[in-house]
Amino acid sequence: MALQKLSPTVIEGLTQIPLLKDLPADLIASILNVAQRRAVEEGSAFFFQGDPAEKVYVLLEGRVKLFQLTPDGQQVLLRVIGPWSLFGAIALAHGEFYPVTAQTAQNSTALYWPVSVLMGFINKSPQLAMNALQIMAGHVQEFQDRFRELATERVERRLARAILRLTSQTGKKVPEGILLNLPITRQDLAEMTGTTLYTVSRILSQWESQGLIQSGREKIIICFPHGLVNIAEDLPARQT
Amino acid sequence: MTDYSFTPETSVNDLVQKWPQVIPVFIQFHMACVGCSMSAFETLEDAANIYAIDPQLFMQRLEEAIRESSPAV
Repeated sequence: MALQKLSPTVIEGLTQIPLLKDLPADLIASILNVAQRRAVEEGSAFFFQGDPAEKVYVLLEGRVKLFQLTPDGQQVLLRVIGPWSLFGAIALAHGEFYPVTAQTAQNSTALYWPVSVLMGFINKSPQLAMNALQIMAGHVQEFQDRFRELATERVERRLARAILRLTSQTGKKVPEGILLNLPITRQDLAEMTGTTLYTVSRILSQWESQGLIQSGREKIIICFPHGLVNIAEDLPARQT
Repeated sequence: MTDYSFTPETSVNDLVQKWPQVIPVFIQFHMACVGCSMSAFETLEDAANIYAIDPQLFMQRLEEAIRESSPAV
């Protein structure tokens, strides 16, 4: 695609994107010169999960949802991207197939390069390679954070809710706090909250070290009920 | 004569059960106590401390809410 078909505003925007950051102007011009443009209507897709990963895209306008489908057809939204975002970058890392579907949430336009073309530039420019690496490292970081939330915070809430529910039904006030007056094992709690014994033990130990609870064999005392309610209900942080 | 007797040791749940008209006071102080499963175990003093509210002021507001909504005696 000829560079002159891109408006000056778009070219200005593209020189700011992380992929092209700190590159010499002539290299940016060459890269943009061979870019191709593709418009996709709302609700259609740039590519589908499982398609051969042959192109790398930069969104110019619109909004794109990246999601995966589970084998039983459930859709898992991984991220939603806006203008100037890179997507399909897995193609650069020898990904054979796209691991996600890139479906448009609005009418969208993107620039794209066949991976072989972009690889040609990367081979000549360590800075371009470094930019691509930084973008992917950013994605890894983001998904590590998401993973931690899924793996810990949500189970914490489920566990806090289960304990509060049991306590409100059977709790008994004792000098140290509220005794969960029921012989309940960590395995019971794990099954109630859809997690593992190991996770329940780890979270209970953490709460114990924070002074929220005291726990022993088949025994839990809630020392700071409000703290547990905070976790269970995700109460807004208090303004003091 | 209406019995206004409640103390800082009264549980949040007992108070709210007996005098539902105090509920707006909890809401004004941005307290999540109303409907909370732990309110049976927390005293009014506990609740004030948790939310860093002056216990005297809190007790006073609760008392006012009950008096204002009760028929004159």
